[in-house]
Amino acid sequence: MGELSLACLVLYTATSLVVSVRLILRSRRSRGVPELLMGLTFLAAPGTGYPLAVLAPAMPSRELTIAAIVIGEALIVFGCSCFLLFNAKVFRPSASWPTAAACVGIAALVVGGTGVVLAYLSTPDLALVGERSRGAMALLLFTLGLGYAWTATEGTRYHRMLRRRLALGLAEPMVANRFLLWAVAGVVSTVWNSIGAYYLLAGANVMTHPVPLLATSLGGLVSAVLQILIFMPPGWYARWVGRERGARALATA
Amino acid sequence: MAGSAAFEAACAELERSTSLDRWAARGTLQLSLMDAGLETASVSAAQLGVVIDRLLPRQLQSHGIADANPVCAKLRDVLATVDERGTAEGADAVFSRMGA
Repeated sequence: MGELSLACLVLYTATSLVVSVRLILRSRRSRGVPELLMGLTFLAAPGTGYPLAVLAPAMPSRELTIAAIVIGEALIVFGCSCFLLFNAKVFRPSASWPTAAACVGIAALVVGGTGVVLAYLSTPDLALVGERSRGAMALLLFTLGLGYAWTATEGTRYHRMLRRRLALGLAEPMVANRFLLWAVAGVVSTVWNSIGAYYLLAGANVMTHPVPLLATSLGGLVSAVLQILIFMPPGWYARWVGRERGARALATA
Repeated sequence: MAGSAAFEAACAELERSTSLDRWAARGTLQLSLMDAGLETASVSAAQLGVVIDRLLPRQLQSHGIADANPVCAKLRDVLATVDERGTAEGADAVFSRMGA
């Protein structure tokens, strides 16, 4: 189970890094803030922050463990903050409450991330660190879960709207499909984070217990596939989406 | 919530060109936009033009405006002069770029 989890983490990390570089390069060309926010999200959180935080306890010295966890948690908090701001700015650009909600989420992430770091600083005993960081980790996962639920809700709402626009020729099938995948990614990540938060609060070791490990592995695997289909869809997938849309239009006619 | 420049201009013209009051004019356009899967805050003049051609006449008829064609023509004229700078970018434009 540990090997499967590691393989999925590596796949998720590698995909996130590739997607992040593409988005950041694209943001330089388009000067688009949303691409930059999403690129920084993937680069900082799943691309570098998560792997550092996972590897921190396995470091050969306490100094390296502390350095890895401080950098890792800072990157996770920064990346996830960019993700919350992306949701607010892209889906509700004219309203002020989403930015306020994102700021509350960012505050919760900072508190959670700081709590994890303080737990590592308080003792070299990793078992004790696990006990002391339980609440902070759960807060991080719960906040992230809410953020992903927000993603799922907005993705679903936009997918419905774009299906209506398709009938009037005001949308592209690929973009409508991208919102559907975005919603699915939100649901998958909400489930994955919620399972982790539940088992943390129940007192289980999420690094060894089979249920959260399986959830993390499958969540990472599915998220990696969805990232590819959303941000760098292969030609065959784009053709399939176009054909599906054409078939539906014919059926309707 | 304020609408896009195109939406506000079309609402004002609809109110001027028909017997609808301000809220009825906004509501009529909003219903048409909902049918089209568009939002008032980010709808562009081009998108609104399609809605005016394809969906608005039916809405106007339900409000007792039998001949919608002259009203729609006036709305299209107004939309041609709208300055769209500052209109919020729709999420569809962002997602179109991100996966291209």
